[in-house]
Amino acid sequence: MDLRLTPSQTDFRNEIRTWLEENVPTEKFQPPSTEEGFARHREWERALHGAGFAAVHWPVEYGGRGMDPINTAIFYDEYLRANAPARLNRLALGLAGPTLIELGDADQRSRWLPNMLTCDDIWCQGFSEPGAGSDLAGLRTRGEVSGDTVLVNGQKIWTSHSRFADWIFALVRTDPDAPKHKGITFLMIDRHSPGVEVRPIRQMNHQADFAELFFTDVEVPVANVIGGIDNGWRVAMATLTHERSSNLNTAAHFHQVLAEVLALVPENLRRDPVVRLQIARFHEEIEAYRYITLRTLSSLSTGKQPGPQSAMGKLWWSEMQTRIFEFGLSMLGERAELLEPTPGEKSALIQSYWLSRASHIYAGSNEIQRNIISERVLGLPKGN
Amino acid sequence: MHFDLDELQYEFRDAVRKVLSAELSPAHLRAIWEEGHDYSSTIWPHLVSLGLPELLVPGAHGGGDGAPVDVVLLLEECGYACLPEPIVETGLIAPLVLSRFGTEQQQAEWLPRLAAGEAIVATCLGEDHLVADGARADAVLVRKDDELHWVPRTAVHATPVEGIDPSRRLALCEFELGADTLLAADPEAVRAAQDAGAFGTSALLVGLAQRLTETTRDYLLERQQFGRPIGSFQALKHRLADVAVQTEAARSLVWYASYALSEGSADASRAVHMAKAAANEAAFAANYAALQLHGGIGFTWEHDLHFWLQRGKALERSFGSTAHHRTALADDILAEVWS
Ligand SMILES: Cc1cc2nc3c(=O)[nH]c(=O)nc-3n(C[C@H](O)[C@H](O)[C@H](O)COP(=O)(O)OP(=O)(O)OC[C@H]3O[C@@H](n4cnc5c(N)ncnc54)[C@H](O)[C@@H]3O)c2cc1C
Repeated sequence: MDLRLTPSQTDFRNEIRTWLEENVPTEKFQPPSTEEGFARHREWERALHGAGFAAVHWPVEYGGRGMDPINTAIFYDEYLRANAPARLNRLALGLAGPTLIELGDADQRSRWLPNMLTCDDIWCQGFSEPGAGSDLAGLRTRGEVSGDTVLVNGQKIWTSHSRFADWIFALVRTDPDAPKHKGITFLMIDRHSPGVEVRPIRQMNHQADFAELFFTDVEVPVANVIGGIDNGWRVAMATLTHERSSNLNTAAHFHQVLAEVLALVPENLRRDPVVRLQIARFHEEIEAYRYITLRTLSSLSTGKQPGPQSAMGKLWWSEMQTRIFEFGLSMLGERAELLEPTPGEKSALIQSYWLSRASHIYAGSNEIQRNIISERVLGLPKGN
Repeated sequence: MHFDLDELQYEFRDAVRKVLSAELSPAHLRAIWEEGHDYSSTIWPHLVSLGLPELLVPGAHGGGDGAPVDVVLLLEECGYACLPEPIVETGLIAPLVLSRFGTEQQQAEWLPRLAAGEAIVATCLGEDHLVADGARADAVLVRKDDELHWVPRTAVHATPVEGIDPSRRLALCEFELGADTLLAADPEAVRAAQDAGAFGTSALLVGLAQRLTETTRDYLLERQQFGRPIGSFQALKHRLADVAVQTEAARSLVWYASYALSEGSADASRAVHMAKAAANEAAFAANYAALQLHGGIGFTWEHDLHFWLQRGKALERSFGSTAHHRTALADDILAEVWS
């Protein structure tokens, strides 16, 4: 056990830190959902890419830095520390790209990876359907293979960022007669192709990040199939592994969240023993998350099978983060319901709060996480 | 940067696990519980030949020159096995405190005995004078305000009392403290002793929570109701999953505390506060789930479960409750935020 950075890790850390200090824009961008904001974010992503920092965890030959999970975590700690802009193409860099690198062929990699790094292509994830959420393998969007094309008909839902996306990595059913997990194909679909329609869904927090996608006789070249026809479930599992090891939910991030909330504690409650006990618990939980994660990263970086804690991170951070926001809301009292930030708030806490509630549902609902832990870690019987 | 124990530490853990599972079966534990204060240890010589009590004694005094990070997995095993011996007091607090703060004479007299496994140590660091193993310890480490005293058995007046966990062999103690017993008049020394105790106990609690989880898992697979194993009921699966998560979270903090103590990091006490609070919470959750999920059989004397349930309840409070540690943690972190 040695938590000091090695000389090469220190060098890498210093390189990032210096570059970020010199390059992080001082003004805050408009959100990427606006035209102006999108343009600024993309400009920033291109600057990152120019410096070799767009996807440090990708192999060098594909435009990454070939960093192991520990170095990648160092990168994101520095990124957060520098208050750098939110990343624009997370689903490409975190999910679609690594899946292509792992299971795509050479043509597919050279076709899609470069534009992911430059954000010329923005990607979204077309997995969930009205009838297939937790039970993802129940999906019914059809893909009929004939000759060189797959003809896609059906519907996806809850597709985040799809309004701005250029590409969809999607799961379609190519063999309706095969057992549930067998007849599925992983397909890259051009969002601009004829027959693709996006209908934004207004969310309960007034925003509209996710949408419905409708496919009517959409022609997709067979060359866009990843990992072979009817082999999509295996590919999707690889994608979901990357989803669970998301780099951005770091302990440093949650400490920032806690600091924001601490700023809202009124003077007269700062000596309150109950308030102080709660804050101590949050701090403890964030630190537990730090070391849960570090255990996993250490195993992955040394090629060891990660321990049981690797299945627990998402459940831990999502519920912890909501408790922190909940505490923040109670500090705001009746003003918590206001949509505009009150003095002391960086942005309306109520928004962050509701987004944190969504994290209990997406990326494998927390019930599904508990199923996974009880079955794969504890060895209890499968099924409900 | 690497956050894992190393091969040797895992091998030592495996060796301790092997010996404890052979020499400290539930049947042994039951015998100990039946005998209580009169129990004579058969497991201690095995721990001595494994080299466990000597591990943290400096090499110059015949010990293993180890650090807290070397014992963390071993203490987890001791908690897992529900070891009745005061291993945290004897194998961790005593060697750490004596070697850092003891007088030359105290060191020369006691460290070799600790290394040889010839002395059992109890501690009395809180406010109460209720001491586990108080009547049989060869020495008791006693706190009086900012002073630490090393009190040999001759200066301890112990009245054995019965507790719900007979293996703890509780005694109410009075001590003859004087210049000859003084080990250090130094708040640093007191803090070092308390940190070591809280850290060691947190490792025991993680092992204990792990054992309760595994025992309960086994029972869920075995017990049938409504024509199927009760482990197929999702309410029970999820309950135990939550315990497993809390246990791994606590374990992660306990490992970090072992590292921070070994390195003498500035945040070592803070790390210990977090480790003990988290381990208390994990053991608490495991305790509730274990008894509830066993149903009636878990409430019997005849079933072994209660050894871990009762030990857990005692350890949740010794060397600091959750509230104690979180209050101290809040004072520490908030001093920087709201000065
Ligand atoms: C903000 C947001 C963004 C999203 N973005 C995307 C995206 O970009 N792309 C995409 O493909 N999807 C996305 N999703 C969809 C998300 O993955 C699904 O919502 C999720 O998988 C749950 O599916 P569902 O909504 O159909 O709920 P259901 O699966 O119907 O679940 C309803 C409830 O039943 C519980 N449940 C279901 N099965 C079990 C079981 N076996 N045991 C116990 N409980 C169970 C669930 O936990 C939940 O509480 C997003 C969702 C949200 C909220």
